[in-house]
Amino acid sequence: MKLSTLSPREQVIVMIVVTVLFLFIYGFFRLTPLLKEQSALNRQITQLERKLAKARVPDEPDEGLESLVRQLEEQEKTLALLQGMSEKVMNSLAPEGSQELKVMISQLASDNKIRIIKNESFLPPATSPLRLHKPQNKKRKQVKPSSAKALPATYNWIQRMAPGTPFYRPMQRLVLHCDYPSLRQFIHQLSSLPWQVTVIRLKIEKLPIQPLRGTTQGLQAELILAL
Amino acid sequence: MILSLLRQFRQNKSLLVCESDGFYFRASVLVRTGDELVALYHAESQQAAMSESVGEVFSNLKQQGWTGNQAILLSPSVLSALLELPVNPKKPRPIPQMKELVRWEAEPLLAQHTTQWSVGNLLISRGYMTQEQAAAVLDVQRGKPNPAGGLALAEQFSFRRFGELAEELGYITRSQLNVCLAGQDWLKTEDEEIECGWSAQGEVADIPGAYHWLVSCVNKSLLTRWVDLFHQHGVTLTAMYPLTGSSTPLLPEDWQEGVMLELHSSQAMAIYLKHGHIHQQYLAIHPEKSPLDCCLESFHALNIDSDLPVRLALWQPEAGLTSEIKLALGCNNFELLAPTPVSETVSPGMVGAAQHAMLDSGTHLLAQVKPGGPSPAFWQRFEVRLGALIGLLLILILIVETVFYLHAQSLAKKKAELAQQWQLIDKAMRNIKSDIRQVEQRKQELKNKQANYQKAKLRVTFFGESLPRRAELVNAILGVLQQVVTEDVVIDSLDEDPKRVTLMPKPTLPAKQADRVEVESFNLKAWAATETAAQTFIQSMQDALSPWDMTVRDSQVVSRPGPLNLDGFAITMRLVKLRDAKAVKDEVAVP
Repeated sequence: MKLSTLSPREQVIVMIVVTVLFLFIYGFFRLTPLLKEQSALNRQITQLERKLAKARVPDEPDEGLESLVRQLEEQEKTLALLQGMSEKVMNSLAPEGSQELKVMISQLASDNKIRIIKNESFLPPATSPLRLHKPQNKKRKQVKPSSAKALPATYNWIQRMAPGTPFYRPMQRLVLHCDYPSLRQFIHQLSSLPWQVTVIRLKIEKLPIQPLRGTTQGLQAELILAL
Repeated sequence: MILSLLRQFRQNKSLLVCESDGFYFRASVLVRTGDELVALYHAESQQAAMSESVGEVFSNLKQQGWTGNQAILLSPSVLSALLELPVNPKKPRPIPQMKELVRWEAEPLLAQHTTQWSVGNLLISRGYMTQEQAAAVLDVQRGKPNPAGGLALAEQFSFRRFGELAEELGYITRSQLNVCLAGQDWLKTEDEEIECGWSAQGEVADIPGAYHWLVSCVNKSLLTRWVDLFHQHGVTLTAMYPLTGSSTPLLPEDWQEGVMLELHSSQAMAIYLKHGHIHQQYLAIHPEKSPLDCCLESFHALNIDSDLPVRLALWQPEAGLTSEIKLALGCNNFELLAPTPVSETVSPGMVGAAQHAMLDSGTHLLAQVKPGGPSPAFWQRFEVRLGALIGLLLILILIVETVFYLHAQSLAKKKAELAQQWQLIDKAMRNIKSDIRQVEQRKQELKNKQANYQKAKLRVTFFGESLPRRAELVNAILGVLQQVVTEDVVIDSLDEDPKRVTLMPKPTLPAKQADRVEVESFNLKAWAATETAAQTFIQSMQDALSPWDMTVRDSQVVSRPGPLNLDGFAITMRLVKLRDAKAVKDEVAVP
């Protein structure tokens, strides 16, 4: 069929069909993806603008890094100095589980004519010393022993030196029968031992037996020593 | 301007211009160089069969180097006529309607024109018989008495064909008749359907609203036959032109009024131009007459003033004929119209038709017949309109694409700028956060070191100071007891139980002591023989312990039997060491 033989009406229809087909194909295969692409681009721009609007640059730290490093170095030096002192102090304490010190204590008691009724390792009560001051707190927090803090002087010495505390030392419980002067002598001479031994609990009672005239009153002393 | 450029662009650079009167076939390849035409190749043939002639000519031209495939043909079978139609060229009718109008007027003229190609005329024009012999044959055919035989012959030959009669009468040979019959096949046909082309001329003087239209027409079957024949040889016949009357494009463009005479063997065409349009034309075909007589007949048939300028388009001009015509016309302004490349092989009609087809020169002075009829005006063509529509759509798409491209570019640029800003901010934020992290890390490190320092310091203080002080305190208390105990006092017990003695309510402490806390506490129980001894003992203890920063609290004296059931007073008291609460708290504080 030759195009020139088409009637005007047919020509108009052909042109309309061609136009519609052309626009449809262009719109479907080109314009729609293009619009989607630009819409995506617009969304990305909006997101970036929002991000930029919300972005807040944090303030720079007040303290300079160099100043902190200097402080650290100074702290390091101070700590090293203190470590020396600490070593010196710790050297005055008996090695853990030292039987030699216990022998010395027994010997000292014997030298002072003190009769040792009981000489045993003392373990603080099962209740953690940390909990002793906690009931006051409404919120009970489980404190790990490793992170346990040193107890203040308002706590007794046993509590302050209990296992799990920073000042933990092995303890020895002595129950003695003696008279007052020998007891005093014994306690006094504890400080002359090569290692530091401290009475952290003292309980002295009269023995129920009345002393004979001219003799001294017998005492029962319970000592807890921090070795 | 643009249209002419477009036309030039679409026009072929070379065109094969063919010419045939049914007996011969010749063709020249004309090439357009600028505004002029140049004849490149030429070939001709005069075979008995036209198809053979055409084949011979085309192969000859191809051998010479012609590679084109477009051709036009000049043929005497194409009638050129000037019609008066009530159609204003400025308000052209639709092509189908125009075609009907032209066909209505041209069909009788073409039928009359076709009678020129009867076997008798062709035999005379070919010189195979004389006019008298033809008249005799006609007489025999019509039963007229004649010297040859009278009525008996008439009865014998009245239903016989002209050629056969002429042959039987001995005027022609059979071969001569066959040649004429073969040539007639390419000049006339029994088909009445015609194909035509037209060109608008000026207004008719006497009839308002009527205009001259130059019309060329040919039998459709004849045109188809030529088209098919050319197609067999791979050549497209684009148009047919009349054999005479095609020289008008050779006239100068500013030639407004005058007469053009075109002479082609036994045909002479006189065309009268007025105001640049063809006003009259006359075609004289007389095979038996001389060219001069034909020329004069056509010129005088126009019945115009003899002072008008005359241009003569004459093929293979002879000096004698030209001067004879000039003399016979008595015209002073007489010139021969034979521009290049008119030559012995290329007729003025061929050049004029080629100019019309290739250069659009003098378009309105010549009408061509195209296979399928005339094409509508450029903008009226459906292909052009469809192309324009598609072009518009493409331009629309181009605009849309450009707009989208520019928009996308601006968006991409904006996005790139925002992304760059974000990168800068993000980098700054990362740097600052990294600084903050490092500072925090160092701070934490410092804090840890301070804590370690504090812990170490605590240990040193505890083991190096506090414990020795404790040992001293115990010795001191024992020493104090030994000093202050008199004969009236007996110590029952000394206990370090942390629980307080609650026999008495806690005394209200002075404001100075309110922020002090107990750090050592010893419960002392004793017995005194007298109340005075008891109070003295308490006072002595108070005095003796004060250097050790200790004090007596919750002291109580109650009457109670003592050893050996003696009356006396029981003494209870607490020996406490007080320290500043804040100092105690700070002592173990670790950062």
